[in-house]
Amino acid sequence: MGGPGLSRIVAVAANTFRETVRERVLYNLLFFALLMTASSLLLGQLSIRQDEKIVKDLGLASVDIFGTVIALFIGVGLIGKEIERRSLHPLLARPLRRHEFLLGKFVGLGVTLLVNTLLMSLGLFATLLLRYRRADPALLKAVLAIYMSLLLVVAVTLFFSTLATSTLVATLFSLGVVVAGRYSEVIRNMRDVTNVPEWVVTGLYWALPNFHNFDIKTEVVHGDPVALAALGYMAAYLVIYAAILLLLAQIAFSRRDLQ
Amino acid sequence: MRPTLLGVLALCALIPVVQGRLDASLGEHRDQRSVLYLDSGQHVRRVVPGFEDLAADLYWLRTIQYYGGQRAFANQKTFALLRPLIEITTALDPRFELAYRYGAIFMSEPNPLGAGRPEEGIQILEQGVAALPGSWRLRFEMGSAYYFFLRDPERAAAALQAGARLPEAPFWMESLAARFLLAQDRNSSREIWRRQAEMSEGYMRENAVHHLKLLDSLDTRDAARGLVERYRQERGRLPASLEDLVTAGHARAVPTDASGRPLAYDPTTGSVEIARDSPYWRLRYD
Repeated sequence: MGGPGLSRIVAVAANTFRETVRERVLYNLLFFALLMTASSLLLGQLSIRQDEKIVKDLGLASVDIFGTVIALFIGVGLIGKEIERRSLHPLLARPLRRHEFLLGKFVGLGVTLLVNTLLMSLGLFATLLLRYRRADPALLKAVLAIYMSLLLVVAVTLFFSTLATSTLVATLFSLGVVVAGRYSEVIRNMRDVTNVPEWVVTGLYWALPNFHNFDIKTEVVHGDPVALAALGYMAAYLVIYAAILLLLAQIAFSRRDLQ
Repeated sequence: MRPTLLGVLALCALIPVVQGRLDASLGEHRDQRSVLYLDSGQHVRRVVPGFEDLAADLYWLRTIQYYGGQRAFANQKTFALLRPLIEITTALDPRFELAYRYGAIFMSEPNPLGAGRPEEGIQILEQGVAALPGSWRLRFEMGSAYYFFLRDPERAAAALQAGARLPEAPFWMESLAARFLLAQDRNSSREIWRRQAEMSEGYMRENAVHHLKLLDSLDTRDAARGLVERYRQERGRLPASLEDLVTAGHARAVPTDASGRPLAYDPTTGSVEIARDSPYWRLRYD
């Protein structure tokens, strides 16, 4: 991919970012700010001095939940809406290849999620610093892991939105895979408790995106060390899995009749 | 637009009125009829993959609300859901040290202050020790529970000795264990509650301070009993009131408990007790 290709991807990404911000996606930050303020003020009384742990748990879970919801519901609309509104045709009539369009969409939503995740993390750190006069920098490792999982969700949604003919179907499939990916441990343990052949269970375990890999919230909140190597392996898993999904999405998208 | 907005505002103003009527007819603080739809931590884990810690926090908040609700409002303080709530919390986050510690106290405190089931309180602490073998605080709580709630100084001392061997254990755990084995006396109790107050915050600290003041009140009561007996031996009769002890020069002031309430005195029998309206009054003090 040469210079012009890259600039076209950047243009699509910038446009996608502007579009998602215009759709008031970042309004969830307001709710997050209220949640953080209320929890830091009220939980001290309710939790018997466990409020700091709960603020951390709540903050990280919010980054995860809000990010996943945005990635899922905005992600499935990125391609589908363009097709349904027929706004894709004039775009592709320009010197813009389909895979560039797809990659631009992925990067654009990735940037939106990055901004959202960074602002939420800032909110969490500000709450901890103002309320408890300390904020553990190790929390950033959990935030980074969550962000990587969000990028994987975007890849999943883009894959299904290029395959499915309607946004609803793409949403249902993406939601199903993301939820199943969070149950990867349960799927692995099915080997011991069901009569399903082991190769089927193992195959399913390998095939589904393992979102459990990116969940280090417990370790970080309890102060356990998380090796940088583990974050490196997470990044490698993300790159490999997202590349597979985006390549498959590109194949499906290139074969798709958009008329 | 304006009439609609006014309509919304009018309806908003009606909410407190209707809520007030509901509270008046149903009671503002009703006995909570709590139900646990998921009664095992493993079941809850299945529902919230990736968010077990947050679920543990929510269950912990619910445990505290349930405990407080039972203590304050329930007619029959059975604390039936307390154990499952603690178990779910700790199954969701097995390293939630405070849930084991406070949970065990909630379970062990005699009814109506707690569930009155100290054996189950100790079981919770044992689960905590299995999950957090390096926690000396859990061993300390276990020693306290054996000592206060089960009157078993030997097992209390064993728990403290096991805790004293842990790397971060404070120096006094070993000596406290030795003291348990020597005598089950008020000073040993005072030592435990003093340590508890030092290492705790919030409810636990208040609870420890309350027990320290209770022990002070018992000391005052015992001293007053001694003065009454001395008065009787000197004068051949019981004092008519505790003021007589001051008049006779045996006491500088009328003895009071830690809340400042005068002790209850019966001039016919000479018995001195903590007054029934005192926060330190108990039916039994053993």
